[in-house]
Amino acid sequence: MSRERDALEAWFEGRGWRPFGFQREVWDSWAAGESGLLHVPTGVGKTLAAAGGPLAAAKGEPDAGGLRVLWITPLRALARDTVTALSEGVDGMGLPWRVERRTGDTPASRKARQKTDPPEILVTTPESLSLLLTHKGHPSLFSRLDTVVVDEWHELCSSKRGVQTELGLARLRRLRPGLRTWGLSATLPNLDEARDALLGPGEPGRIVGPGPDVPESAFELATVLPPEPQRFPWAGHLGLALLDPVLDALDAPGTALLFTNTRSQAELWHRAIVDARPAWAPDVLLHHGSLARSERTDAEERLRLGTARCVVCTSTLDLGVDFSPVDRVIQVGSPRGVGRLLQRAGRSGHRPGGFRRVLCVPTHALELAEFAAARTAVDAGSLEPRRPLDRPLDVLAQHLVTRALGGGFTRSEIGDEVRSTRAYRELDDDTLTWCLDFVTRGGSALEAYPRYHRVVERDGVFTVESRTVARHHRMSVGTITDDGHLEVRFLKGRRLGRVEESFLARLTPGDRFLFAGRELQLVRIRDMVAWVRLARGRRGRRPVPRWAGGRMPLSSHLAEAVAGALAGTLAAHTPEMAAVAPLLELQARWSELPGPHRLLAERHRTREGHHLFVFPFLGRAAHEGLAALVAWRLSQAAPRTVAVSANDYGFEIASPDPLPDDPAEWAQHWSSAHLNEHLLACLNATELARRRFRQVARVSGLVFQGPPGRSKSARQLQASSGLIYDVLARWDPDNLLLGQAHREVLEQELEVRRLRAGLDRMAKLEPVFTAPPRLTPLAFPIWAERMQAQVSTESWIDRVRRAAGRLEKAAAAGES
Amino acid sequence: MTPRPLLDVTLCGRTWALDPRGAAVLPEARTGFVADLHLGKTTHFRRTGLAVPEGGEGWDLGRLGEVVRAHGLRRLVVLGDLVHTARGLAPEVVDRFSSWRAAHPELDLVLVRGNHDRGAGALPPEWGIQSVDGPVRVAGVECRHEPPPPGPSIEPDTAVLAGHLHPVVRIREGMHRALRPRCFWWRPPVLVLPAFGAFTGGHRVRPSPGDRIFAVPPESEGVAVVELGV
Repeated sequence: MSRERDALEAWFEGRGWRPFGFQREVWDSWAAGESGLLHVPTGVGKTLAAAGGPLAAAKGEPDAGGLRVLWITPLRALARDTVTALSEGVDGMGLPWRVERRTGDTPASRKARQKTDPPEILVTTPESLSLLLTHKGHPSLFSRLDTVVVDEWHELCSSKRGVQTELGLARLRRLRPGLRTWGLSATLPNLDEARDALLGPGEPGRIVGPGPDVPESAFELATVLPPEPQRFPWAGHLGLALLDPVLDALDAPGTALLFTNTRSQAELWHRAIVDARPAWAPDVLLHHGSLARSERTDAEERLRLGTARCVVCTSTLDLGVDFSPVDRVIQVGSPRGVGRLLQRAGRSGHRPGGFRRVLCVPTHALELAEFAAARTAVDAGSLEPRRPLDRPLDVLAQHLVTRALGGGFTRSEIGDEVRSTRAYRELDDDTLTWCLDFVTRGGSALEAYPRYHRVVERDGVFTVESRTVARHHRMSVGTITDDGHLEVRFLKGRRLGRVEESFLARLTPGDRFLFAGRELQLVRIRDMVAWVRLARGRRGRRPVPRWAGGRMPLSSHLAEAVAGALAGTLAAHTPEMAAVAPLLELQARWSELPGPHRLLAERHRTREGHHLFVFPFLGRAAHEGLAALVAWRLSQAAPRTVAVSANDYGFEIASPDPLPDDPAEWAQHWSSAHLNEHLLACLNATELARRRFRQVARVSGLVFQGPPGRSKSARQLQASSGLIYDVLARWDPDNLLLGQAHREVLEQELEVRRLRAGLDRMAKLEPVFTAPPRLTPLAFPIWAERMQAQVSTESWIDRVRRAAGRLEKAAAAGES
Repeated sequence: MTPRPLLDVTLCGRTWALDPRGAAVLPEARTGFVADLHLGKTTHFRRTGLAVPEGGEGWDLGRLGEVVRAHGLRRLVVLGDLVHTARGLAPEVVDRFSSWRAAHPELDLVLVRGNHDRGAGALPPEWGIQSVDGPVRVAGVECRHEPPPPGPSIEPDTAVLAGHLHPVVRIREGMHRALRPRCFWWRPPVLVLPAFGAFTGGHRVRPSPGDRIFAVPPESEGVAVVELGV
């Protein structure tokens, strides 16, 4: 063992630690010049595993100086904690190294200094890396770089930000051919794919997992059982009914994280807890993606210090801030996925061998089955894969401008570089040509884009000459995840966060709403800012903003597990299934239970007309696509009006006219023949694609979003992506970015892969058609979903309540 | 109220023809009114590095010519924002409108300057346009770019025509779907015209009791303007 390595081991020993086998393996592997992917549970020392190699090597070097380690993290919140942990290592080893971070929050003066006098370790985000690459001097900045670490790679790798990272890494590897790249990840079933995305396909890379010396931490899932499980669950109904047991759990000393699935739910729960326990108000905080940076930092800081009683949050706190474990984790509503639940549970018991405990709170009765199913899946070690994306052209277009700005490139250079990534490994020449045309001439239809001017090609070198283009591009690089939002600010100036424009547009000045844990009153909207004051006096109806993207589908893993649980083949003897048993008995009495080998379909007649409920358990996205497909095929067969509805378990077809009787005819309607073609035709594909195009347009630089309080010159560039979509569809229909939007609709919104697999599976199942006397426990929530979509919220609630009361009476009277 | 196709409508005691291309016409005065063409907008975008294709502008001018011919207009009033910016007035944009002008030499062309026109500076003389600052009275109608603020200051029986807002109206059609057509928005005595330019966004209007909304059908529908029930 080398002297440098001795110093590292000695430092560990001095702190009373013993390196784990996986840490030594990564150190050795790094010392041998290798790259790789490390997957171990949170809290066992991933950071030092990845940093140990470079730190030990630096011990033996006489001179410091130059950027040596680039640390990429998906969240700015994580960046700060990472700097703290790495600084401890640097100090512990007695190195004269500086550790700094560079994110969107870093002051401009410090950023400028980092370019001329870089720290040895720089902690940054994918966007900030892209921004560094837009500067002509970036090759000299990275001239001594020998290590890149990408933290939480499992989170990044299946998103466009992951692709942005892949492209950034490809550039760094061109600059520094011996560069060592290490990814830190949670356990995934598709680790090979994740490694290929990180290192490039075909590149050697070691996959290191926890060895036998890492004690497994036990997973414990407890569920709050409703006193009387509602027979007719519908989304949100049980919601706050279980507030009391949650308050009891929060009464214990220590810090809790309460996870909800949507920002609206987080606001509601936060308000409910504070209303019920006013004395706790200062110690119950809120954390979600729409809140202003300062609001979130405050909650993070209180978590770190352990002075918060409870932080109500959404997925924004899914990622382990390794250094702030909490005492308990509460999950409100469906966990949506096995991996996600495990990750959230992991926020407690951040010690090797510690307990990962989660208290689950159902918001409707069938979620009890989801919790039971999730526990079974965790015990079986069955997790969802995260699939890296293939070839998003908007991200490539953005990267081409980034590279053109940062000193320029030739066609062959850039082709080799981007094809070395997993995402673009199969990029063909025509598509590359199109993307280069897009950034240089606006598109392939030459005459359609006179006076276009962004990237220029001179003597085969692509560069950016205009300062306006440079400025606009740098402003847009960070916007991959952003959307049409207005800033919410107090009249006195304090920023509270951002809310969807469409929500605020429904309010008029004087209206109240819940946001950032406060009851606010809208004063006025001007220049993309909603000015508010605290609402005082009487409590009225307080709407909560509904943010888009809150309807995440159940993972196929969990959906299958739920089907198994309902059929009694899985998780049969758990308290959750015992609690849900009366509901399932009723389902069996009125209809049938879904089973692993059969496809349950329920026919029904109501005042509205004829209904067919089908339960394939494919998750909401796939069911929405499937329902629309079946409706379209039905109306092709005979003209009729068809309404559809879907949830995670199944879908509904409703029509005032009689529906087909013959199961064989239905089987035709859900066959997988001509799937893509029919889907695009039936889903009014243009509408969906227009919505999807928003992000494509923003990322590729087709729309420009200036900073808030835009100048006049920025206002003159305002055009909605919908308008651009229409113009492209009419005057440049071959534009590949339109095709990109279509592809994303099929692959991501409708999950066509999952849908096709589901249809193929459905074809093999035995169809069981029943005619229950009333809406069954499985059918009712789907029917209620549709009501939600059709009428306004208040009357919807009234209607559903009335309907639920009617059904409850019938069940109690023993009718069948 | 169910929508009904409509061409002629009486506002402030005068008969108006609402053209589905997005123009309001006073047949007795052979005078037409349009608003918000924003010529040169896509050019301005392209010059700044946003890849918006050209094409819509030629189409806009084609439709404008159709309006002139269909109603036999002697006079056309543009209620502001004829052009987008000075930067957008590239030679080919100037030429395109000059040719259009040459094809309609007899037409009396009046521009009530809008905020964009003021920012863009003087118009090319060969366009033969009389530019004025609003409000101005033409054919017994008060013409302006921005609608007047609400209040009793206006003569109630003189119609006021304005642009600037780019009004659109949202029509729900069942679940998850809505139409968002451009519209004429009548709030007595002000008629706000839809934006005529194809590459312009819309501002959703929320009609109050007493307002009338005339929706402009998509060109492909080939039908007349329809009045919506409010």
